Amino acid sequence: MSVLLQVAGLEVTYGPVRAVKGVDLELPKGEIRAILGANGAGKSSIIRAIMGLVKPRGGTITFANTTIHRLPPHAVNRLGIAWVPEGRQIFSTLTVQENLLMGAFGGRQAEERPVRQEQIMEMFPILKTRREQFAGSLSGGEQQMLAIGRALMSSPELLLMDEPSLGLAPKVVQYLFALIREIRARGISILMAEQNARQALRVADYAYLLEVGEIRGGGPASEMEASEQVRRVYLGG
Amino acid sequence: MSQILDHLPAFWVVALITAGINAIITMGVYFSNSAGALSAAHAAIAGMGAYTGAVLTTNFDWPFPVAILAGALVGFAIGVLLSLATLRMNELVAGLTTLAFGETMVIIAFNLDYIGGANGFIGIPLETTCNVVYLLLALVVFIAWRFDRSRLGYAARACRDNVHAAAVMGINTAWVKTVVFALGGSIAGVGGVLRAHYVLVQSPDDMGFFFSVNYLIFWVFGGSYTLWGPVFGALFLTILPEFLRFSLYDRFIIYGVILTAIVIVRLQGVITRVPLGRRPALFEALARLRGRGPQTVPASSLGGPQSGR
Amino acid sequence: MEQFVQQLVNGLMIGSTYAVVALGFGLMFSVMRVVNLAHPEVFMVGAYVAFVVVTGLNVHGQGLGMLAAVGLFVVVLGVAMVATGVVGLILERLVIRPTRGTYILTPFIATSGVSIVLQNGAQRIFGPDPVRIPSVIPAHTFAISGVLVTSMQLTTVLTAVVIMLALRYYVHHTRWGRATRAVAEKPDVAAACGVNVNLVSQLTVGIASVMAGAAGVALGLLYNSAAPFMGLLFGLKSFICMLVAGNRHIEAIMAVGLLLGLVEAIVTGYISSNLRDAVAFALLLAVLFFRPQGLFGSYDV
Repeated sequence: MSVLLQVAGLEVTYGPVRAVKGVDLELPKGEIRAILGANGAGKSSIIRAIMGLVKPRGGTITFANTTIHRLPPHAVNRLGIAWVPEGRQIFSTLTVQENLLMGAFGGRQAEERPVRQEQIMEMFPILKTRREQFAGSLSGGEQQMLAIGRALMSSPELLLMDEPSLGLAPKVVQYLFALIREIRARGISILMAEQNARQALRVADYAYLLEVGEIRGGGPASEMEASEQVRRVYLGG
Repeated sequence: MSQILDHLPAFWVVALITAGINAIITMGVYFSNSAGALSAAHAAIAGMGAYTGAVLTTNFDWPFPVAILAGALVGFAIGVLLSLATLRMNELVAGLTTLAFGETMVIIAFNLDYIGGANGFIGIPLETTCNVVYLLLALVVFIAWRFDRSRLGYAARACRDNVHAAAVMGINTAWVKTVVFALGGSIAGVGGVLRAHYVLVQSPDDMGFFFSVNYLIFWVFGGSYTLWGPVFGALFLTILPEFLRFSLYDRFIIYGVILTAIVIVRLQGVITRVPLGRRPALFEALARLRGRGPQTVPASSLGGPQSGR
Repeated sequence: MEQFVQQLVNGLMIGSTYAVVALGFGLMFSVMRVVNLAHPEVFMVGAYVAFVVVTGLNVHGQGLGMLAAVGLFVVVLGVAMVATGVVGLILERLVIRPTRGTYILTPFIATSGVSIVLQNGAQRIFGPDPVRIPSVIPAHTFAISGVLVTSMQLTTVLTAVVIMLALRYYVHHTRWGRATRAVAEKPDVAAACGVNVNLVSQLTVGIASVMAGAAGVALGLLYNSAAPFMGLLFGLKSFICMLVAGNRHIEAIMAVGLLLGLVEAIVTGYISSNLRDAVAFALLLAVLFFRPQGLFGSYDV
């Protein structure tokens, strides 16, 4: 299986603080991989670096044979990577419809945009009913759906998800992870950063353990679930 | 000092005295802003101190040193007032309030005939000499040096960095901010009195937004939170036009270009070394964060210089 | 009563130009968190371009038919808008882009340097005294239900209204307008959606500058003069309009601009003309104390 995304030796610093130290990871096409770690471990920094929002101090990031770590975010988006930010981050002063249109701004497969929009509305019926409402008036779960829908509007090959379950009710989280499986079924590869290891391991194919900016372990999800270390640290024994 | 001055051409003396006065007022800005405030009213504060001192010497024949003291007191009082008024506001709104205050003072001064109204207060005796100016400047710098090392100075810096964290640490942030702002106001008042007794006229326009912005420019340009920065900024930017003695307008055009260019190239201000007992490595890194002062910049901002280098 | 309505009409006219310049300030602030101190000088440049074009073409409005006069006005407006647009784009690329995103005072001071250059440049080229701009629109006075409006006043208001409507349409109904709103709210997320944020920045400053230039032409032709420091007080008042209105809705800025013009006219007419300039500051102080985020709300600063 071909490798879609390759991260090698990634270093991210914010001033004197080294948030990411020499991280290697890869994402084969069609897989869901999770980066597990506590708050502040550096998961978001990795995601942001891939998206081009932070310029890494060192290391390389390659996507579909293109070096992307020097590219600005809009260029990364146009290559086929979409971002579901931490904390939803929908445009609250735009309507639901406008949020979705923003997702498609990059112009990938522009001709199919209306079809894609319909498909996404089918996937998230709640968005259909609230089409003309300001996105700020949606509930947390609805906003997360919108954020994901918006990301899907760009017809991405790779979806970056930053803590998708954060702040959501357990029932919504279930629905969310079922959704993630369905997205993968449509041929989109997913790299997610998650604190909720239990749920993440159920849906991911492979997981990395990130602690204080370094990869401390990684393996197929089933192995990780079974491992002593992971059970103790992330799954509460 | 006077012997040196005798050898200089007259306009140099003028430039030096003016620069020195500007430096004093800019140090007032330095003090007032050291706890996180942003004052666009210092020209007005200086002006009000100036009017006070001028009235005392001209109308009541009081001695000059007393006038200076009076200016300091007036500046202090106004500083307290402004600080209390803007205590709960966020930085930008507080700055705007000081701006509005300054302009309001201009309008009031315009309409007060006792102090000359639109024509300004004239007939002020010439009392300011180069010696006086630089003596007082040295005094102010000395006070600043002691302040930076004092508990009040550290408390002010803490308030500036993160007002909530400072409060949690037990600092009475309201008190610190007010004292510090008032201190800066009193220094500005002194500067105003000096200016009035040199230029011999004090008019309402001198208190306006334009001049307050000038002092802010000196402050930021030189290096906002360093000891010598404001002094350097005021001296450099006041004397620079004197070097550019081409046509009247060319010199300001070049001045504007230099100002813009230097701000762009050195976003953190010209002087950035902050030798105040902090760990040098930390400050080196912070200086590299270009202009945001002691706060760490989030991963990205609107296309601006991206940190994480 | 007629006198009152007359004052209102005069006030609306000035107010509409305040609004146009204030919108420019508001755009740049909400999209880029930048206070562009050179914006009032761009307004001044617009007026001077009008001066150059009108005197260069050596045409006097009085002798023209209505259609030709309007055509001439459009030409002058067009040239000025192109010129100020270019100035804005250069300003963005050289001065604003390197300094935005950092401390809020840095672009403020950098653009203040530019304003010094522009003010003194104008003095150097045209002299410190106001220059006279011949009329373009022949002077007619219309009486609309008892109120007197000159043709140039009408032109000014029409121009301002057209600009404001165009801006509103752009912001709410076009792709790039949507992108601009998105960038104003969350630049990172917008960038990740494929928006070239630098391009939006250029667009924003360009649009704001074009608008300021148009306002400069209108005011220059209205008062038949241009002066190097005409931007100072006018710009400050427009800036205050933006502050008072907040940054959330451009309609708010439009409304406040008109309001300021109205109140100024009433104060001038009925209280004292000395206090005219104080109105803006009084308004600002009042709003700052009661609603610091502006009358209609603002984005997080």
